[in-house]
Amino acid sequence: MLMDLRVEAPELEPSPVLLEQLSQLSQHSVATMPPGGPRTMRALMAAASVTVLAGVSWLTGTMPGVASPFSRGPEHGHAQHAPAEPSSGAAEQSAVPYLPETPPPTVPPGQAKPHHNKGNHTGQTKPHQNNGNHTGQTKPHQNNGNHTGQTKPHQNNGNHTGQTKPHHGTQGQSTETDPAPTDDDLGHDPVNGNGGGHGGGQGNGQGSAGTSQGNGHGT
Amino acid sequence: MTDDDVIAAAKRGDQDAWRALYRAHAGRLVVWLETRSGSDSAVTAEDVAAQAWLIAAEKVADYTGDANEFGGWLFGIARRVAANSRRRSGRRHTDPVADTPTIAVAGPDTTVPDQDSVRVLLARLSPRERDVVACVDVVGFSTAEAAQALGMSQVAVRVARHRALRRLRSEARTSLLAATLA
Repeated sequence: MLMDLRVEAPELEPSPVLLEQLSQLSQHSVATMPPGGPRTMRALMAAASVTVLAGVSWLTGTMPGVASPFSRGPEHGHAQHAPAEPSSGAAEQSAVPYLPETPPPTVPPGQAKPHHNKGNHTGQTKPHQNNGNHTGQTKPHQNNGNHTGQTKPHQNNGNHTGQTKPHHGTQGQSTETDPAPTDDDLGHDPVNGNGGGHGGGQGNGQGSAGTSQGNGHGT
Repeated sequence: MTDDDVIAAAKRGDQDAWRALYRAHAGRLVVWLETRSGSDSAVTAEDVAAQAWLIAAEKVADYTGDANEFGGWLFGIARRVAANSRRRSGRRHTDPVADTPTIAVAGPDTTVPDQDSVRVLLARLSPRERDVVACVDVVGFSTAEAAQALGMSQVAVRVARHRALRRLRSEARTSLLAATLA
């Protein structure tokens, strides 16, 4: 059994000073809330917040499937190049001057590995060495800068499939080609080992084809 | 919802309307504030109530309703004033230290003399449950008025009151059993 909690509240009488203050304050009272009350205000604030967040998300491209108007074009990023067809290699070769003709590929299609140069080119050419097991698909050749204008041959030393991969340079792309191989062309790849064979390759920054030389086992 | 005559007159600054509102709600407001916990010893319930009345007069243009529902709106203002007072007292650290002289000083008299027993009983509850029981069972608010005063939904008020009363019954049964055994 619970006791009765009700407390009889006394009837208090306001003082005249307090009444005067209440009267004056109420006369100068100005509504600050909309007529709908706080609920309408909350709904408006929630709608405005959602709108702002959605707009910012759309502009920044964070929403999946929606392209941002401020996103960069594909020319600024790392382009994914499709494998070059053997028939189109002739057109590329004809468009690029000072390039020796490369023998046609004799290997079945395969995949190739990318050639990554990360800067500090000294002007002398350097062979691009591949050591086998190419699969026929090309990957972009990335140079990160400091090219000096001379090109280096692209050496493939094994298991080439006849498809070439582009060489992408970002700075100082070369305008000359040096088809003659250097001593490095003999395939001293500290990582991948030696390979050999004949294959079509692109050795300069603009995707020109170069004669590949190597001493590996070509298929 | 439209204003009734008393509220409309109070918005115009009529002193008679304010007197009627004060007579209707001031006593319950003080009783309710005295039952709440965490009040600063330097700030009495009458101080909080007077400040709540002044704020209500300043913001009366935002209020829409009749004179009976004015109580819930006023209690909500008083609840926020009391919360601000608690925060200020927490920053001031005005609690007495241990080396104060042991002179018994009577505190401020409560508005209702028989209120101490109710306060002791409500001290067993959580602050939330205490506020709900004080609004509904002590002061006599309806569930809607208590919900408006406490900033809660009516369902939350009902649930909190149900739990509070169940706890009070359980403790009363336990104390009765202990008294019987003694």
